[in-house]
Amino acid sequence: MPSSVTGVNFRNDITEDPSMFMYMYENLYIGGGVAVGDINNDGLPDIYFSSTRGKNKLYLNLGNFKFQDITATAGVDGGEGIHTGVNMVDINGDGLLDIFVCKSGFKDPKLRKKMLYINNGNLTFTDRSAEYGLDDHSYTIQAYFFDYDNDGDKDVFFVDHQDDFGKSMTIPAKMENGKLVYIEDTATQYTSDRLFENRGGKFVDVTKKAGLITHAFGLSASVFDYNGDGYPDIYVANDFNKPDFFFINNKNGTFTNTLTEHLNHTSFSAMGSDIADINNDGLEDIYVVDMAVEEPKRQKQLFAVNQNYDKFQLMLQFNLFYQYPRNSLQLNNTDGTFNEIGNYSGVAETEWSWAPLIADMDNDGWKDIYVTNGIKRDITDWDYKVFVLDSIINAMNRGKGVDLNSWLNSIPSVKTKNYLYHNNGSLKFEKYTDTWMDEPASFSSGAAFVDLDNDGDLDLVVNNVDDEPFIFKNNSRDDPSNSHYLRFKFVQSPTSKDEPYGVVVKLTNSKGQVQLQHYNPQRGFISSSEHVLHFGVGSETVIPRVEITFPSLKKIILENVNADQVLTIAASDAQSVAPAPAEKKPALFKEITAENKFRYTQKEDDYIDFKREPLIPYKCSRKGPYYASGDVNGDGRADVYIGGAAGVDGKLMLQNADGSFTEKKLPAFTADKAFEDMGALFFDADGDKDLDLYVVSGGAEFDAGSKLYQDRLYINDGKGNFVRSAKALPSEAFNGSCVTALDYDGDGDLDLFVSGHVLPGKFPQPDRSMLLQNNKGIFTDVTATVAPELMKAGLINCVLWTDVDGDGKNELVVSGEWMPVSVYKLADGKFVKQAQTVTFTSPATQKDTTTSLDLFSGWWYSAKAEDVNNDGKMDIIVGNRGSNCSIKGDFYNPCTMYAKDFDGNGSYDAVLGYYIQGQCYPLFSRDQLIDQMPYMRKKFIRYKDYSGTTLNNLFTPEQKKGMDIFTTNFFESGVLINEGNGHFHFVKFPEMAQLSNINDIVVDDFDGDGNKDILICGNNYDPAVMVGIIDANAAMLLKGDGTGSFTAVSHADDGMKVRGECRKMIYLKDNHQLVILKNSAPVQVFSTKN
Amino acid sequence: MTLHKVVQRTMVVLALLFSMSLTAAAQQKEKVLHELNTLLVNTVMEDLFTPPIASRIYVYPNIAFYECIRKDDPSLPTLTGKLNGLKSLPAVPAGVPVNNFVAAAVSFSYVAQSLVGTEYKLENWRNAFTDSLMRLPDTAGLKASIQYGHTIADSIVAWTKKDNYLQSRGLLRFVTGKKSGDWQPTPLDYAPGMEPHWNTIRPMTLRSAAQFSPKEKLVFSTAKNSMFYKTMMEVYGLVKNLDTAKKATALYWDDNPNVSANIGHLNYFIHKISPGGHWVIIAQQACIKKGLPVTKAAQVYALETIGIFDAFICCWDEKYKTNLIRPITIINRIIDRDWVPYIQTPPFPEFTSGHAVVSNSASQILTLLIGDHFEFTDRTEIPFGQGTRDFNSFFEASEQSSMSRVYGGIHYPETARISIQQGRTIGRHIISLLYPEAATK
Repeated sequence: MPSSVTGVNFRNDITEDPSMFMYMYENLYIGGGVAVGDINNDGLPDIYFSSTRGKNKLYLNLGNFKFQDITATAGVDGGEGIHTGVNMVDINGDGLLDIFVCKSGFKDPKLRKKMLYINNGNLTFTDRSAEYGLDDHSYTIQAYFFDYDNDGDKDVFFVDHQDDFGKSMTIPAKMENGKLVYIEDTATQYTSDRLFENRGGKFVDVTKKAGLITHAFGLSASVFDYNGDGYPDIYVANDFNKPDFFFINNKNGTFTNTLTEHLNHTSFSAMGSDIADINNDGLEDIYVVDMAVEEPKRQKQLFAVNQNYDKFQLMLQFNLFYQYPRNSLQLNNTDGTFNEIGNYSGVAETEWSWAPLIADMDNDGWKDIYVTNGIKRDITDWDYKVFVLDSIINAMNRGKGVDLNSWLNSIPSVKTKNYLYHNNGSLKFEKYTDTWMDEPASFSSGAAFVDLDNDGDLDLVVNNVDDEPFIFKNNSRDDPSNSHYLRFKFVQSPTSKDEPYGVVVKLTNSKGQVQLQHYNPQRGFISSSEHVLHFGVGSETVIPRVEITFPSLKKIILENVNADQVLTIAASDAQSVAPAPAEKKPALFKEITAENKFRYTQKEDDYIDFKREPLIPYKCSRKGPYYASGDVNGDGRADVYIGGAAGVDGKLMLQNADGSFTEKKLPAFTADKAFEDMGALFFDADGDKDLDLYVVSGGAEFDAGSKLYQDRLYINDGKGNFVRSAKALPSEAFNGSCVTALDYDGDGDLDLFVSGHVLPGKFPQPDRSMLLQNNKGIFTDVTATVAPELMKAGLINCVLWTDVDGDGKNELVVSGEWMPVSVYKLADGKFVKQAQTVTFTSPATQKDTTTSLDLFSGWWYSAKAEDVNNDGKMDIIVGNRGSNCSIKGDFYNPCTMYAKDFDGNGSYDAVLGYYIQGQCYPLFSRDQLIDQMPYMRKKFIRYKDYSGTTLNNLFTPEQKKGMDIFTTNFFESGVLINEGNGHFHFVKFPEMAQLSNINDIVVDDFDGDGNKDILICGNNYDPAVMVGIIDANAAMLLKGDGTGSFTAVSHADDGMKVRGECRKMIYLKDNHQLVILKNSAPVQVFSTKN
Repeated sequence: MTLHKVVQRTMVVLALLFSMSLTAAAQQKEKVLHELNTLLVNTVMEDLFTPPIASRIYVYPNIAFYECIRKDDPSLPTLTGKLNGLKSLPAVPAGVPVNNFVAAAVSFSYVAQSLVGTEYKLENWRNAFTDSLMRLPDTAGLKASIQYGHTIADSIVAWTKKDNYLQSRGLLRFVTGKKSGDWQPTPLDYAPGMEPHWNTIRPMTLRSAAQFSPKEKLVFSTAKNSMFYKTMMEVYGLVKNLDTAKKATALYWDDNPNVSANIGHLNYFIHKISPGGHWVIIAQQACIKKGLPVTKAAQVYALETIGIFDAFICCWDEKYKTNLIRPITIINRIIDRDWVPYIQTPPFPEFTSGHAVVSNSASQILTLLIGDHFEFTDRTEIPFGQGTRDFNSFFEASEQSSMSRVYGGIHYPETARISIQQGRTIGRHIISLLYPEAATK
């Protein structure tokens, strides 16, 4: 709505002068906030804008989107200083909304005094901050009112920041008792977050007592009761090195930051945040925005955080956590943990972002996301910060006068469009900015949603830098048939001790679907939205059940509520409800790690692949641990061998009668600890009826051809004593991965297929695989004659020996990274790849596509042969990387690597690209390419020369001659249903199983319903810092229905609270025990029969 | 100096060159050489090359220039046969009159162009240079001279390609050590160790990168009576009580080519001249003050840049063999958590001091070629806001630059002392090998 209609001609013009400009106070450009609320109780919400350096403005809503500026008569211009966050809140319970203004920026504390404008009831206000004890002078971004101690009044939390931005990126450390520890800043006055307790109308600083002294650069907070105990918890989004805070309310006036217990990683430059249930599972999720750019050219030109491996490790060493420069959408797992799914959901990159607001914009019952963005000065432009600014400083040094304006004007300044995402109900959001809004590009800051015209949908108010605000009228109700609503207002009654902030409302619709929200208008960024809880209910006109829970855990339950009304809820109506009887059935699995049945902690050696190959997307050197199981000592119980990383000996674990395991130390394993163990196999090599042990050597970390790639065969004396055979195996030096026993020649003994992984130093070229023929315990490499096509078949992770075509004879099925799933059949004494086809639904087009299985290239980490639909044909369950990663790839837009020694210096230059908005762009930055290929400096003199360069244009046609091209066009996991005649139908797993990679697969009927279920485990911390760890699914049960279709089981039901990098699962079916082997962490053990 | 100005001035110089008497013209030729080196140093700075790589870019063009121009002065020996891998260079084709100066300038520009990132700057310079030559009344032999300069450049460029630079780009990046005295990445960027394999670069005059490894080492120890602990406490105290003069000295010699500044998201990079570049410009100023003709000036540049190049190789060999922790890391860890150095710590191990080794190799060479107690005013730092400085000798300057790293809080005093000696030894070695006449002075 234009200002000519609304009369809102406020502008947040940020002036800069030598007393205050961006290089004096970086947060100058965060912009202004918006607070909405009905200050005169006339039923029409009014609007208050903060102006960074000018006068704040209050507009009275006259109806029909007409507003009147009453700032001067109301006396609420905010006073002097830099205005940041604003709230409308009834602070004294008189039924009138008051206005609170935060300040920051100037070093002079007087200019940072907060303003509490108490509403006099006659459209005038008086600053009574001193009277209320809220004349605080700290550097505050926003205030969050909430009742932390549940005593029926509003307390307040201030998100503050340190005053020295020079400390934002350093990692100071000192020795303390022989241990290196992080040095915390000592200054806290004005810079720590603050908690003020309301004691009878007077606010008292209780920060220290509450354990909330902080040292960070906070930009927003979200208050919510994460654990449903009735006491509000606080999530604080922090910019820069300091990770976010997750303050759990201890219910005794104190808080504890337990961030790492809940999250796997966070945003690096965390800005605004919001909390809401995005998938209608009744649990609230967390969305935090960062500064990541989606548009490929700007992405390369503006990326803000230049993280290197060493600095990232240093941050981890000092518990500064995994932080990535992109938005995070933390999906609540039902078990106290969250998985970050921003890349999967498509909401990871929204430009330099400020306010995320999660609300149902089209009243379809699913909450959408609006994100404001824009920064007036692109200070992260690489050409500006590396070249332009230097020339300005140089000119100044030469005595040439450079005035502030010409300096500031040398900084690129580009307005960008805000993002509006439509929730499509399956954890995915679609960009609807241009579909739903006619919004110009802007430098937008704070934003609020509010139904300004009382028509039952949410309008938007956005504060802009150097522009008038946006006021968007929502037209969803033009056709009400699919946009019904239900709204809730809360009145605080003097007799009740229940504070409405924190009330939780849960709707259940006629289909049993749930919607949940909690009441807290202070959301997004430096703003506060309407004082109403708004639910879109789609086509439902009567809501069968509404459950309103107050912080005291008292409830109001309403049934068959008509839609399209605003309900006013009084806390005094709430009833104590006896807690519902615990009808919750016990979880399927039960963790028994503490019972110590199986103790093992994997220790990885810290080889860094990126030091040898800086441009590879992930490490190949830490794939362990692998294991083998079998009864080695003839006691009838399965024993286990777990391979060790380089420098660690393999461990033999013998099973005791009570199901526990005891390690048996063997000199043969200790002697070979220099090797990195990959796949291992117990099998009878020499025909003496006991299990011998084959261990594949690999790890990719030794130079190609190293003796440490020699596989080993250990001969069993029948009692579980193993001695390495000196001559049974051929001499070889291949980086191997797995070993599979197969009697391919049908002579009654077991031959072996040993798969190769990456050729060390030449990612992603494959190293050799071997077919070893067993001749009375002596193995001969017969690959060249029997399996020539398998010599260098790929970066193999999975090998199956199973009957795919149903002719009673087994085929070899191999798959791995950068390769398809391939079936090799023995014909005329040779393994030959079989032509196979696959039909799958393209994730990009949602259309069925049939293609050769050869083109079904993924990063396959696991595979299992199983007839999941009971049609008598072997299906293949395949675990891929999943879709929750910045590196995308699909059939039409494959993730691609161009590889060759482009600069002729003896090192293999593999450059990865993936599609963004229809074109394939290299992953890495200009400087990273120059580091690997110095001539790139000549090609890309400036960053802008590189920004927007496609992978194809990175090299000349001459250079591209003879290069290797590797592609991946599929990242989803699922089941290849065998339809016979060489045809498969790929049925993908549900979305919850696509959020991470799948490292291992176990099939059994775990819930006893007669259908096969699938247990998966995953996560992968190997990717480069540029890519980010894959961490959103450690383990999960997929329940089968017998037709080949599987549904995800929530952790509340499967009982699998698992975290970390889960590589393998040892399933000891006889004693119902499941051991989850992790990299760099202790095992977790579960009983599969709870 | 902007490119535009360099080109403009060169054209003025050339117009003069061919219209004046021979003596007057000779005085103008060295101006072209100085302009070329200024252009080279500025281009290297703008391209943001690291100090070791910068030293490689300075040296080859100056050798090319020298090998062409020395033919105008029979007393100047060739460097072929004495520099590793440079056996000979193509002779002037028989019967073709070649202007050695034109060939020298052209060869410099081609070699420099092959080494820098921003090639067009050298290309533009050369085009302006040859265009203005073509406009002269007498152009006889010019084409042949330009062609010969190009031929020499091709040979030199072929020689550069065998110095293992390109191969060294593919070697293992530095892996940070975990022992208590091991070097650690430092703020603000916490960048990994820079150029850990610089000792695999073919030196100009050394048998091996370790040829001048100092016998005396600074060995990490936390024992209070150890040399390391004492020298660490010395730099700690010094920086805590830094007076204005010492601060000015630290800033004056802070030739870190890439200082990053980081105020939140407002990070930026200040381009500065590298230690090697600073000494190229000192050599330039000395040549001008001394009034050296282009032939002698070319020798000064060539030997000076060879001294700088080999000094970096020796120093970097020592750095990654000793892998010593920087003052900021160890002092924060065990003495004072709030201590910060006065200037930014560059991303490589401490021992020996790059600036001290390079400066003293360079000052030793200048002292032998131009003279001791040579007074000069250094104007190199004007663009970096540090004004000018007067020195009574090259050694005074190099000693001051060595100590500036201690005042700046990035080196230990003992390292400065040992590094000065290492640098001087390298400088003497280079002169005695390449110009023994000067060594005996």
